[in-house]
Amino acid sequence: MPDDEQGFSLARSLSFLQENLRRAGPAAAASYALVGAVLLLGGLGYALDAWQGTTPWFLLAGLLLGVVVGLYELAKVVWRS
Amino acid sequence: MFQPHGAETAAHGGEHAAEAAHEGFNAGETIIEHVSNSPIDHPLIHLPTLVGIDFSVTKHVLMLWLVAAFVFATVTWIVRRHLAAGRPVPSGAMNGLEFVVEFVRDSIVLPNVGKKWVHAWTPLMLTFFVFILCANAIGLIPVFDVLGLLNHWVIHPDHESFLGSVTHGGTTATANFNVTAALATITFGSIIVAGTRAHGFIQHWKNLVPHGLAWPIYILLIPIEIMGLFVKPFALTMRLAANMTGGHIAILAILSFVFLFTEMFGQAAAGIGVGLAVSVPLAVGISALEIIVVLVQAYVFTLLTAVFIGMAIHVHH
Repeated sequence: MPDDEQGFSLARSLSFLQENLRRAGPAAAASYALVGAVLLLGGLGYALDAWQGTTPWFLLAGLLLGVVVGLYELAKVVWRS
Repeated sequence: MFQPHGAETAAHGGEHAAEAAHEGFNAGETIIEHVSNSPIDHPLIHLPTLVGIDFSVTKHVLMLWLVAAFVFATVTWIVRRHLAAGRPVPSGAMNGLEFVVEFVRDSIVLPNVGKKWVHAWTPLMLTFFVFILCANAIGLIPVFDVLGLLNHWVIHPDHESFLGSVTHGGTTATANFNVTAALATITFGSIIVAGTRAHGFIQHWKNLVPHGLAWPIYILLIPIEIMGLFVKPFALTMRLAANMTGGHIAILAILSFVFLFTEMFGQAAAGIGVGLAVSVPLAVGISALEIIVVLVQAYVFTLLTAVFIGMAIHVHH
């Protein structure tokens, strides 16, 4: 019986893929949060600008705040590991 | 629509081209009409307005119901059949179902949520995974478009009638931001429930910020954390809906070359040539890519929900 350590084995490949995906989970969460924060807070800022007619100050503040929140989420993931 | 069969799309688009012959083919308008929800003024089923909310059923709502009914009926039927057979070893469809269940439990929920809570959260994750997967996949299958094509020649329904609206084309329910926002709201709620069940209500909110820091830092951190709370579900919402819409728009844009070139050169041969040489092969390629996207997006939504729930349960400082 040849051992499973050598050659191509679908089960082994899948388990490695699974392991990699598991490790990638928090990183994926952080990266989506980074983009999501910029989009959400930037969008809120844009909406406030459109409402109040204060272009571009709320948009700028929203984008800046989005970067801060996104990077904070990223930093939390890095601190954990 | 977004189906892999170029011929059908050509037939659909042909109608539009014929309609728009005198005013020219507007690619952007046609694409938006195909990916957006049916207008609320012309719903598929008229329902009364309760508490200021119009409950009329539009195209996306109908697809949502169909997907939910399909998932419920199929899974129940498979499990019942397996139980009725009374065999200890699953066979056929039950085997596939068990593979999905084990995959979600062992590779999504268990590593993120941990052994203690895996059985509490697997059912929710499974529901997310199977529902999103089916909703994405059914959007890719041109069921209603094929029916519509048959209708066009056989029944000739009134354009305003239920049948006429339904067979105008199916859509992907998960390509609507409201649907994914609802799903992400469930994620948002379950993060709070997970933290509350693991640590108690007060302790869960305390866990959000690292403790043992100087008080001025908290003034900065607490608002950032509260915003982060909403950013996570928002990212989930945008990612899923944008991915499902984006692929459809790409396919439609490429297929619209056929009509644009026809118009540009003033003869059908140019459009058909471009269609055969460029549009159809590219659209087939993107459709194949969409199959992967369908799987990956369902997986990622479930995985990220599990990661967030795991973060609420396992708090490290």
